[in-house]
Amino acid sequence: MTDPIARLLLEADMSGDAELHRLLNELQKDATAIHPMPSAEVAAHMVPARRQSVISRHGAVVTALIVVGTLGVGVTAAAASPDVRAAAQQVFQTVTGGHLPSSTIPDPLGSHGASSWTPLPSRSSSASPHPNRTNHPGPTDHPGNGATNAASPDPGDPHTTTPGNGHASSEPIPPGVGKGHTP
Amino acid sequence: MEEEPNRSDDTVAERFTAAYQQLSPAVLGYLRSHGVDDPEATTHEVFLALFRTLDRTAEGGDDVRTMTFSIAHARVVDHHRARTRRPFTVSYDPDSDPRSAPSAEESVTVKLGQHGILPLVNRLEDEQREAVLLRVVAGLTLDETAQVMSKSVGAIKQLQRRGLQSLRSSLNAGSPRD
Repeated sequence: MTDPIARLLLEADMSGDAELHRLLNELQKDATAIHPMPSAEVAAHMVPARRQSVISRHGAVVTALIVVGTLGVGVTAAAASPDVRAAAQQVFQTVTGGHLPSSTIPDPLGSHGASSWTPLPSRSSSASPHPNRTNHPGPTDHPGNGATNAASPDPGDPHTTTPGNGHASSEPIPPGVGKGHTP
Repeated sequence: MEEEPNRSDDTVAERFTAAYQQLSPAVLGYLRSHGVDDPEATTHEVFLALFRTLDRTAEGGDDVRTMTFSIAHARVVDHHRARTRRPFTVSYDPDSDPRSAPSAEESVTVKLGQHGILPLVNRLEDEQREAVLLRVVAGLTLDETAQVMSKSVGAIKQLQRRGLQSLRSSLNAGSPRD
C-alpha cells in the first residue's frame, strides 16, 4: 500500500473513515505546498547550480581563447611570411580583378587618347596563359617597373598610380590621373 | 588518485541537493504545524545539520528522510522547551496572552488553513500530535516514526491510534469547524 494515510488509518483500524482520510490528505497537501528557497549557506552545499556556472564560465573562456588564438596565428603568419602576403594579395586580386574594367575594352577616348597613352603591358600579362609567369614583382619581370603583375595599375584608376612607378616617368599620365602625387 | 575526495564530496553534495529538493517542503510544513518561530530559518538549520551528518548516513533515501526528521524533531523539542522556559525569564509574553495576540499555534492554523484538520491536531496531546504529524506530514513509516521519537513500534501504534480516535471524536462533535 503506497498511500501513507491509508496505511496509517489501516494501522489504527480506521480504514473505513473516508472523511478522516480526506482531511488528513488535505493536511498533507497544505503542509507540503510551500517549497522554501535555500538560504545562501544551504545553496553553497548544493551542486548543480555551482557546477553549471563553472561549466559556462569555462566554455566562455575556451571560446575566447580559440578566437584570439586563431586571429593571432593569422595575423602573425601574414606579417611574417611574404608568401602568405603574396598569396593573400593574389586572392584579393583574383576576386577584384573580375570587377575591374578590362584593358581589352576599347578606349572610349578614341584616337586622341591612343597617341598619348597606351595600356600597360602588365594588363596583358595577367591575361597571359603562360603558366610560368609569376605575378610577383621581381627584377626579371619588366625591369624598372615594379608594378608589372596581375594587379598592375589600371590606367583609369588614379589610386593605383604610385610614385616611383616606372610609368610615371616614362609614359604620359592621362589627364586627371595622378593628381596630388609628387611629379 | 586525487579524484576520490572530489567524487566523495560530489556524492555528498548531490545527496544533499536531492534531500533538500525532496524533503524541504515536508520539513517546513512539519515545523509550521508545530508553530516553530521562523520555520524557514529553522528549516535551513535542519538541512545544514543534515549536511554535516550526510557522510555518516547510508546511501538509502529512507535513511536520509529519517535523519532529516530526527533533526527537525529535535528542533521542535528545543522550541517547546524554550517556550516553557520563557514565562520564567520574561515578565510579559504577548504570544502567550490570548487577549492581545494569537498564539503561535493559532498563527500556524491561519497559515495552513483554519478550516482544515490542523486545529484539531493541535489539540491532541503532544506525543499523539507528534506521531500523527510525522506519519502524515513527514511521510514516515511506523518504524521510522518510532526511531525518530525514540519509542517502540507498539508505543507509536498506540499513540497514533489514540490520536486518530480523538480526531474522529472532535469531528463528530464538530467543535472548531463550525
